[in-house]
Amino acid sequence: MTGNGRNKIIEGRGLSYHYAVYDEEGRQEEGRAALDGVDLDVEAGQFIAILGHNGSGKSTLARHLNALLVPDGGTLYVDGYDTRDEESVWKIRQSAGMVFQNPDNQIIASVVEEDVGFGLENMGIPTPEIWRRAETALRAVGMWKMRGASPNQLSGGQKQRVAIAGVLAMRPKCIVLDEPTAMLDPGGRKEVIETVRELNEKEKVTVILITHYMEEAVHADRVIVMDHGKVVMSGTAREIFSQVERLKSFRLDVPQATLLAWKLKKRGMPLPDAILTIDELIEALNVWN
Amino acid sequence: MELKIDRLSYTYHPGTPFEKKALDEISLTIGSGEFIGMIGHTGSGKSTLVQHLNGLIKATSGHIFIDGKDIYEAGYPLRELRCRVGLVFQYPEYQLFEADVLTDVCFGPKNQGLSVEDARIKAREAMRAVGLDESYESRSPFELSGGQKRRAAIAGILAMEPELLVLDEPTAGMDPEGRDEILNLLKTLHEEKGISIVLVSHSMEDVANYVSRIIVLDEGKIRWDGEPSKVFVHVRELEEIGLAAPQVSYVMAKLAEHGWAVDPSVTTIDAAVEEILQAARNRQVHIPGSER
Repeated sequence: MTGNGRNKIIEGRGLSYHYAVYDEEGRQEEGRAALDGVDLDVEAGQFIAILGHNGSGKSTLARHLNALLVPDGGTLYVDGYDTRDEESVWKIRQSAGMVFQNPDNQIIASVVEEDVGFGLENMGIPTPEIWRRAETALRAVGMWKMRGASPNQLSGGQKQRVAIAGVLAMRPKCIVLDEPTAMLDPGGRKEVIETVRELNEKEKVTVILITHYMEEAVHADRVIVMDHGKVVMSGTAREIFSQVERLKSFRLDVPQATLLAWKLKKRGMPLPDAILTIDELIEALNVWN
Repeated sequence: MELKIDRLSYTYHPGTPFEKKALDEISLTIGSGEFIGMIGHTGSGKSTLVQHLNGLIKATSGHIFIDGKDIYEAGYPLRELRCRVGLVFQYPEYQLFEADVLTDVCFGPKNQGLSVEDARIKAREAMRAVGLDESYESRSPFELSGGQKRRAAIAGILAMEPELLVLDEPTAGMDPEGRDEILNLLKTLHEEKGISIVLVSHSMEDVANYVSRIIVLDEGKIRWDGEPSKVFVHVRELEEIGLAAPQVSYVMAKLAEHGWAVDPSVTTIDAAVEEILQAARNRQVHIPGSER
């Protein structure tokens, strides 16, 4: 835990990052800031959603959280470790695991269970312990029954759950998911989001979810909106999704249920602000039933 | 152009332990000027079917007729077919490879045998259609944004002037506005150039908002084929096969269940707004500013 004693898993101050750009002679030029003065505090156990258009800096920020990238300005502490400190890299990667967009790029082994144990083997964990942890992780994502399957027999959603299990087996305090549902069908999306929510609620794993599907962000404790490398909005899902026009100005959107409620309200229908889900909308309308 | 598929089946790795029937007796007709959405869970056969449409994969059995001619018959001009039916794969921006955008977009028409000048004319026209002006011609495709790259890749197909444009998940991984830009581009191509479009998508909302006919694939078979309002009323069955309905459909279905006089087959937000307001007026809910 960091200096002030609060249970912060992530503490970033004034983070900036520039991708290197080279001119035709190979000289380095001043690149555009992919991150520009980002402050980010995440308390252990929170569910954070990060929204932003393509190129807004979301993925760059995510890659900082497990020290795949290190800031060129500002400081970032993950689980109390400074990400610029090379000695801490492995501890940081154990604290904050990453799940990426394409399930096919993250699966290595030819049997599900072995894939989940891959990271642990690299850490030098004794074999019996690897099997124990793989079992716990596969049960947590509901894939224990498929432990002997070949990954190519799995659906997209199942593959992503195996990727999540592989991260879970490392016993991280925090999971960072960078558009984990972008390539999945609706059923697969639902599976992955339900799995992630359950890990957060039951196992108290901190979740940082980057997504372009607005309806996946409505259950987050806090929603962060990024634009041009800066955090431009931060608040509860209700605070964020009540600002339909502002979100649109950042190339974003709101869930369909929210948009429908917002349009009805604009036409004079007496409805509360920022309805987030289908059930909330039905409940609000049923006042007149 | 009319494309007719007749009892088409396709089996991967026949005669091996990996044998898998990907398409099972598919029959359908794509008429001139249609805008069709194709949905189905991962592995339902969408991508396999799509690759049959321009002859990239040859069916294990069955036929495809273009304007009445069987494309599997000896001597059928497959090269010409691949220009008439333009196929945009998933993540097409990974297929950009030239040093500048104009040369990249010229690749297709040059392969069609056009002179450099003629290929450039077609390429410029296609770039304009996707909203990339002259300033993009000499830029490297790799310095474009994600949405621009994808539009450049679509321009590369459009430059061959296809009559039917088939796109496999063209909005995957795009932010909401980038997604709307691509979909509005397709709508314009359909309305102004009369190009028929088949849109493969995992977004039920996008499909509901843009297409006039939906084909639902499941286990290599056609489960439903019809207007969005007719397809999306099967909410529970769609969920059973890994799909869903747009959120609006769920809202309307639930309101109808609760006794509201609304049409549960409405699939777009604007139509839903009108339905709900009308039903509320009938219930004499006081809506300020909307008295007649």
